[in-house]
Formats: sequence, structure tokens, C-alpha cells
Amino acid sequence: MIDIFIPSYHRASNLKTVKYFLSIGWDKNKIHVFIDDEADDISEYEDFSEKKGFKLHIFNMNESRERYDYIHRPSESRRSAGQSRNMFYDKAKLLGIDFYMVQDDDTSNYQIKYKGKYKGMASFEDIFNTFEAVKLFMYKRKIGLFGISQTGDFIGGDNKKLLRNKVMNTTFVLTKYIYRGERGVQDNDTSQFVGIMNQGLFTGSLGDGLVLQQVQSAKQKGGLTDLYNECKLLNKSLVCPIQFPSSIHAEKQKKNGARLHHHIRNKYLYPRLIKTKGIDNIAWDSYKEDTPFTNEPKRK
Amino acid sequence: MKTQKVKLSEIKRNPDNPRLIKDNKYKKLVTSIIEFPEMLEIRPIVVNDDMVVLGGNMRLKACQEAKLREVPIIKASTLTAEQQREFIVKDNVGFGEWDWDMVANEWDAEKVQEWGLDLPIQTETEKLSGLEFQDIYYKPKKVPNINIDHCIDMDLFNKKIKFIEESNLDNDKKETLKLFAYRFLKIDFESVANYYYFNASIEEKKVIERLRLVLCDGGLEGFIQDDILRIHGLIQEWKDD
Repeated sequence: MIDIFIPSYHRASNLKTVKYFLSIGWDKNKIHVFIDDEADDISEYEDFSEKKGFKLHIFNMNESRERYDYIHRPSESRRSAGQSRNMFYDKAKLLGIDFYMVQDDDTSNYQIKYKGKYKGMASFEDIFNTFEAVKLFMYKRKIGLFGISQTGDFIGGDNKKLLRNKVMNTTFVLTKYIYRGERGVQDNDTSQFVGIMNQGLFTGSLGDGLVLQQVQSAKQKGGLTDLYNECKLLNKSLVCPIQFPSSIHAEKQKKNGARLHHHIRNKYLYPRLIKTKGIDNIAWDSYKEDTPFTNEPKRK
Repeated sequence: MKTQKVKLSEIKRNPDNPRLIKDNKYKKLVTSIIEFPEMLEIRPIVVNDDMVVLGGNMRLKACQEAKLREVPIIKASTLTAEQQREFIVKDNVGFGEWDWDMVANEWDAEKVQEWGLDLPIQTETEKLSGLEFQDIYYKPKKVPNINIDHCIDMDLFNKKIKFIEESNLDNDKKETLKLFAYRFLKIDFESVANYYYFNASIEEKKVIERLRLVLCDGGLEGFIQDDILRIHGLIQEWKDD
């Protein structure tokens, strides 16, 4: 059973992800919630952790600020979700965990989707087996980051794509093969996926199959969306145009009041994956100049 | 080894020969044997000591259809059992269709590749999936006369360089700042993949791979797509609902 890492902010009384995984029978010792030591509701998290038995990790926010650079420099006040994602690597190392899955704190459930249609709730076995299969696949091919699709992007349609090169909230991380980036450790999955793909390393998400069902947190008080808004990170995927401007095409939307939006042109963003015979450069250690692979943060 | 004529009934077809032939091609072969039987003198059927065909399974079948009584053969008596298998593959490389299931199940994949037979690389994918799905691999499109410099857009980069050149900075600073200007290069990864696939020399391919301008899934431990299909297979029971 894999470990699940959950960054959280102001959701002590309503940790949906924890409740969900406990309800399907996930080992409570494999559920880790991360908050920072400047949060004003630590005692509420501690009470809930004691009651439910999951692991609560409170990290030092100042240490995190000093150690990890940021690409967008949000306000000093609340950055715990982003920072905790950065702290995951170190915590995992301390706990002796090589492989974990990152999940936002507002997961309602997982469902099964096939050819664009929902088939019902996923069972414990569906989730367990899928996670284990993804883990095996990532170890086998030395892949650092992989995802599972979420509802927001994929409702409707008869989509037959097996793989999507797109940000996902369910992010599997194999620490031995994760790229931490020369640009500073990244603060969310979008930039992480885009960064890794742009470096020419394989990542992606399952198109169909197990699908994450989230609550519409944008309409709710608290939670990560509030945090992102406070950080002026109005849209997570804005990190993509900042880092890789040549891949972005700005245009007016045809609907929605002709508001300006950006369109990512994938052909300028990352290398194409092609099938070859014998030649393989998927693994991070295919070439000697790429080692050591994992970059430590610039700021100490 | 001498060519000799034997009764057609003495020759046995080789059940282990994985090569197939399509109907239209087979019909053409029968016609050509009827119209031009001397062809068989020039290219006789090759058999082993047990009169089992090593080379010419389809010709034998066509001869039977053409109702020939005798055909020229060569006995490859000096070949070992392993050499006979090698001969079957080498004699057929580049011709006709192959029974890939038979190749996969009854032949050593490494050996047949050594002998020059290109194994299809989608067999495992097809085996795993009854699904209609969108392939995860980019299918390179042939672009006539594509050059590597067609794969990069330097317009903005050149404008930035020009601005640096026209500045009053000293040369060292200019050179350093030019390095930063590389971020304005626009790489068209699709064109790179097309170039790699159709136009690049072996040496260029090596460099393109090394720069990871294309991601090559060589299926060293199974193709990525096959693994993704296996993950999909875990929810098989939902598929037919």
C-alpha cells in the first residue's frame, strides 16, 4: 500500500481526502497530512489526527522559505501548500519512503471512467491495484512523475486517449527519479509536469480509468484555492507561460465574454514521444552527463 | 549442391515456416509458375534430407495449385538444424507477410532479428488491447526536404541579439547576455521528430537523442504504452457494462 501525502491549509475540520481514504480502508499510517508551523489551526489538525489516527507533519515554514526558491514570489503570509510540496521530498527521505502519491485535501472519491463515461465508484481494489500498477510502471521505466486524471478537465466526451500530457492533482512521485529543477523547486504540479516534460523526460497522466472526483473548491471558503488566490497565483497553469513563453498563444475566448486566455501549443513545449527499436532515452540516467540527476535547492 | 527433379508429392511443406502470402500475391505466383515454369529451374525449392521445405513453401503450394508433377529442388544436406532455421528466416526476409504469432511463440526473437527480420513492434500492444484507443506515440509525418534549421524559430532570438549588439556594453557582458537570449528560441518539437525520423543521419540522430529533442521509447523492458494498457486492464470488468 503506497503512502499518500496531503498538503493542507485551513481545512482541519473537513479533510475530505483523509476521510475518503479512511472510509475505503486505506491504512491510516500511510496517510500523511502536511501543514506548516505558522498555521492558526494547528490544534484542530492535531485533534483530528489523534481521533482518526493518520500522520500529521508540521514543518518549519521559515526553514522552508530559506531552503526553497520560488518562481512567483507570493506573499509571505500563507504559502504552506506550495512549500509543503517542496518539503515532501525531504520528509519522504527521513521516513524512508521512495514512492508516494500527492493528493489535494479536498478529494471526494475516485470513480471509474471508460471511453469518457462514468461507470461508478471505484472500489478499494480498483484504487489499490491501479496505484500499485502505476508504481511498478514507474520503477520499471525510471519515471519520476506520473498522474491520474481529474474530473474538471475531463467531463464528457468519448475520449480514447491513453495518456495526457497535462497537470493532474493525483501525482505519483518516485523520489529517486524526480527532477527538482534548476529554476528553483516548483510549487505546484503544473509547473512540475511542464518543467519535466520540457527537459525531455517522460511524464504524463492516465487518460481514462481511475478518475479523481473533487469538490468545487473554487466556490468554497478555505482550502487550497484561497491560498493560491492569496499568492496571486490566480491560475496554476500560469506558471507554464512564465517558464516557457514560446509555447503560449494568447487569444480571445469565443465564448465567455471574449475574455483573454492563453492556449498552450504543445508542439513547442516538449519533445515528441516516438516508438523506436532498441534506442531508449526515457530513463533519467540514460546519459552520464545527466548524473547526478536530482538538483538540490539553490538557496540554503 | 545439385539441382534435381523430384515428384511434387515427395516434398513436404514446412509447418514451422512463419511466412504468409496474401491472396492476390499468391494468385500471381500461381500464374507466373504456369506461364513461366523455367523460373523454378533458376530458383529451385530448397529442402532438407527429409524433403521438408526450407525455402519455397509458397512456391510448393503454388506448384500444387498449378498441378505440376515434378519440380526442381536443391537438397541442403550440409546444413545443421540451427542453420536450417536460420535459412528459413533469411530466405524469406523482405518477402510476403509473416505469421507474427508463430514468430513470437516458436522462434527466438533475438536470433531472427540478427538474421535480418524486422519484428513488428506493436504486437504486444495489440495483444493487450481490445480497445480502440488513441496511440500515445507521435506519428512522424513526412515533410519533404526538411532541414534541422526548419525546426527552430529564431526570429525573436535574433531581435534580442541585435539589441544586445547595438548596446554600449563591453564585449564580455554582451557575450554573457547573449547566452540568456537563448531562452527566446522557439523549438518546434514536432518538426524535430519529423526530421529525426525521415531526414537525420545516424550521427545526427545520436545527438538529437542525447539532447532529448525526441523521446525514444525503445521498449527495453516493454513499451510504455503496453504498461498503460495493463493499468487500464485492471478495470476490465467495467468495460462491457
